[in-house]
Amino acid sequence: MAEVKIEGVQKKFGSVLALDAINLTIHNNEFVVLVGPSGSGKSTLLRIIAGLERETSGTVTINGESMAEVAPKHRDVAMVFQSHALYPHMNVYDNLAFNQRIRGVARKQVDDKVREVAERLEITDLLKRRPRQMSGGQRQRVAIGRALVRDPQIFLFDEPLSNLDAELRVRLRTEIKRLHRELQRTSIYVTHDQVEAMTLADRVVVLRDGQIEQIDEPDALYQRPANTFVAGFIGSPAMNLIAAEAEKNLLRVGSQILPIEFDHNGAVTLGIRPEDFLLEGPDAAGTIDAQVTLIEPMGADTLIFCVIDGEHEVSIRLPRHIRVRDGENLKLKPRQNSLHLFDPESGHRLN
Amino acid sequence: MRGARVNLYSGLKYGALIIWAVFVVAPFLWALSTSFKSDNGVTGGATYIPFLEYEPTLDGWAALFRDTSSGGISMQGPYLASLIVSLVSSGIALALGTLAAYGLSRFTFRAGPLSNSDITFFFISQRIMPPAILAIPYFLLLQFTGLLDTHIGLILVYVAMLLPIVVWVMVDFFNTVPTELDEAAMIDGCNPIQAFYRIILPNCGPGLVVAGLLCIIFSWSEFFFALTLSFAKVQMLPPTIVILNSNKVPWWSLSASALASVVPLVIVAFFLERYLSRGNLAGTIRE
Amino acid sequence: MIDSRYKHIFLFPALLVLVAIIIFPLIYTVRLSFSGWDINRPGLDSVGWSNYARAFVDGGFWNSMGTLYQMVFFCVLFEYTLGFGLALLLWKQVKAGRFFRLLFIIPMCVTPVVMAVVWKTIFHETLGPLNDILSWFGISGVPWLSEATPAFISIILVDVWQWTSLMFILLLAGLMSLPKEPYEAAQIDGAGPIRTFVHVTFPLMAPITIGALVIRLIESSKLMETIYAMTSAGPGSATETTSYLLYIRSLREFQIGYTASLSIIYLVIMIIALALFAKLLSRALIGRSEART
Repeated sequence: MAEVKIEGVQKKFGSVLALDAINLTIHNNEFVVLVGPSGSGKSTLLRIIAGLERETSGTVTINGESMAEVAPKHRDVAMVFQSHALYPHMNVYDNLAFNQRIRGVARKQVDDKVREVAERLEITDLLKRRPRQMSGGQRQRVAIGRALVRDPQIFLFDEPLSNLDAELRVRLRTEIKRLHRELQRTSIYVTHDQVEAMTLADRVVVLRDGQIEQIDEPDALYQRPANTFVAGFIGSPAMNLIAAEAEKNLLRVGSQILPIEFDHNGAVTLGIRPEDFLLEGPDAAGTIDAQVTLIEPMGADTLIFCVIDGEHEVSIRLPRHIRVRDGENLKLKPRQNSLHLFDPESGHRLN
Repeated sequence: MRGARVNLYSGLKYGALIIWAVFVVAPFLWALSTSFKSDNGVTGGATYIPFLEYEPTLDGWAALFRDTSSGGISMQGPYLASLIVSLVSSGIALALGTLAAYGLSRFTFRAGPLSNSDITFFFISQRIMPPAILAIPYFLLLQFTGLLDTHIGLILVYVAMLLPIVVWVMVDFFNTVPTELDEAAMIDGCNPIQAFYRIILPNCGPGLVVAGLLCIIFSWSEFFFALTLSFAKVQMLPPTIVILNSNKVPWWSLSASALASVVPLVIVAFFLERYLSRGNLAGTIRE
Repeated sequence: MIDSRYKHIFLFPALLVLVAIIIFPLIYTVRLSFSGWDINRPGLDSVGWSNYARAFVDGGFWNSMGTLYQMVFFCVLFEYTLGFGLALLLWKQVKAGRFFRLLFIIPMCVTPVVMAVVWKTIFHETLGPLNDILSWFGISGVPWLSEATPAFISIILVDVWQWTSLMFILLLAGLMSLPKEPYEAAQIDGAGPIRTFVHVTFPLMAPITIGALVIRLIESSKLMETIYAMTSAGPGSATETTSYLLYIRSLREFQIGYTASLSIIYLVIMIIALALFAKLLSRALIGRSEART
């Protein structure tokens, strides 16, 4: 139950600018994901919210109160670390109970709380174990449990699933989503994995080199990326970005021409997602010619790499029952309203 | 032919190891053998094997307990003094030094152009001072405060001497403990001091043991300050034994007392090897 | 990490102790060096720079520095080489490896001065076992403690016996922390043991070599106890190191003021020499190879 406001926050480490001009409001009970490549400053921002780092300038307020001089333990936040950071010399029970004991909570209450959380996360039979006697997934669950016992107003997650293998990651991701739905607590989650971002978030904040590129709901992010970086970062396989020329209502890609519903003149970067290509018959109009260079079967779909005019590479995604051959000439037509046009210099969205 | 070369190689290897092992053990064996000798085992030239070359007696060892007035050495006093001073000064140095090492590892200090690594270097560079230089000021200082020839006076001096060792071992150790542990503790509700002694310290076992053992070794074997800063009321082991050297004390009591005084250290060496061979000290935390 | 209000609590107790017990005596020594305090004139007076002037022409003092440097050179050289050799031998799995390791660690743990007393009996010219054993090989009556060069050697021998273990421990720990990959690469490349040592092991050990050498140099420069027990700087002043000389002049001859000036000169020289040495060694070993930090 908390609103976090970040205004004009900047963070420098020595002379290195890690965060610049960060403005962000996180609403009550919202699940916000900070996503970006490494070095984008997402962890730094999280740690500033937690109070583990101090912002160089700007303000962080929680529920209207400035956190400028407030230590982590007074901010009522709980954090799940990438490396679980469980206390090695205590068993699971003590790890979960520690933060309550430090606050002088009565023993019976501590016990109730610990057991309730243990049951919810299905780790009751692990209570007597030490961290080194558990697997990575179990440890991370205990780490989440530690945060749950705290019952804070804000949950913070610092890439908690990055150290786990793929299958475990999917499972715990689902558990986290389920927990949020049950508990409805303000949560801020950092990851470099855009799939996690898209599946977990109410809103996603895309960061690059210490700056916010876009803040939006996952759908909007996917369908209307604000610039070429976000376009290429969100979605897997990545969006195709092709250099093109716009003339009034026409788009010229190499020697091919496409009609578009946008009036513009000049060079553009054209963005199309692989799944937004339709395969047309040889006589269709409004198509682009492309030659197949590589075929990658992915199970449910097939990823096909083609080249336009021998110069522009695109990838297209087709359902697996459509067969193509190496070197075959394909006629591709983009779906309605699936074209993204970006300024080639700034990368900003045009349409 | 490979088999033969391998055998020659490992033969040389073991040969070298055994030669050095003999070299290491030689003085101890000599002292042991000598401690059971009496006049005829010594004055006629070097002898080695008891019963074969000389008649063993317990004179040397008995002298340890006899009073100095009757020609004995009376080691209980110095033994006790060394024990007290060693343990107390090691304990204090461990406490203060670990605190400082943790601070140096986790926080940034700045004093003008100097920062953390300079301060750590400052601690460690204290070892450059030969005791001879500090002898006069300490002598005068302890005399002025009435702490000359007391246990406390020596303890104070030893703590200063041991701090660099503790800081050196523990800073290295703390630097390998991930800071996430501290951070988790502080988010859980600890202030830095609570985080230190409730979370970090309990996981420091190996580092503390190594630092502690090194402290005991250095303070037990300390000679110079024990010699110059104590004489009558407090007598430490090393000066006691060295003084025997010039007191026409026979070789057998000399050897016996030398051996007796280093026995605790051999035990400490055993534990030190145990802990050092546990490899990466902080590895247990990194899971 | 913030909450730096606490950081002083951690550092200051130790810092305070150190400042009180090391810095103040040092400052006091500097003050003493400008006084003429000796047995005839006790008390803190002021004689300006005359002590320092006298120090510069003090043959005994500079001799002791020379003796010190020679001793330290040989001691550290042998200790490092032998220590490294032993560490290499015990690096890989060896039968009874732990037994040897334990044995080898003992010398550095026992009281140096007490063992020196034992060694004195060993070096005894007529009654000691060393000359006895040498006589079996036809070498008779080495005047270990009564002539300059043998006395010098005897001190070095005892120091090497005592402190090779320290180098051994440090270097062994270093060897065990080396990454495996370069060795596997070397094996695939077909390098023999000597070449592997020269091109892989030694360069990778560069930082540890420097650390170990500096540590041992600092400690051995204080060489005094062994000499006290075995030769009393004799014969003559053949084995007189600076540390020993300072001890005699200040606490036996009571030339407090003058010795203070000698101490300061010694300290300055030592610190400069050590810093230079560390820097040169650093450049030589690390600058040239791709050793990891």
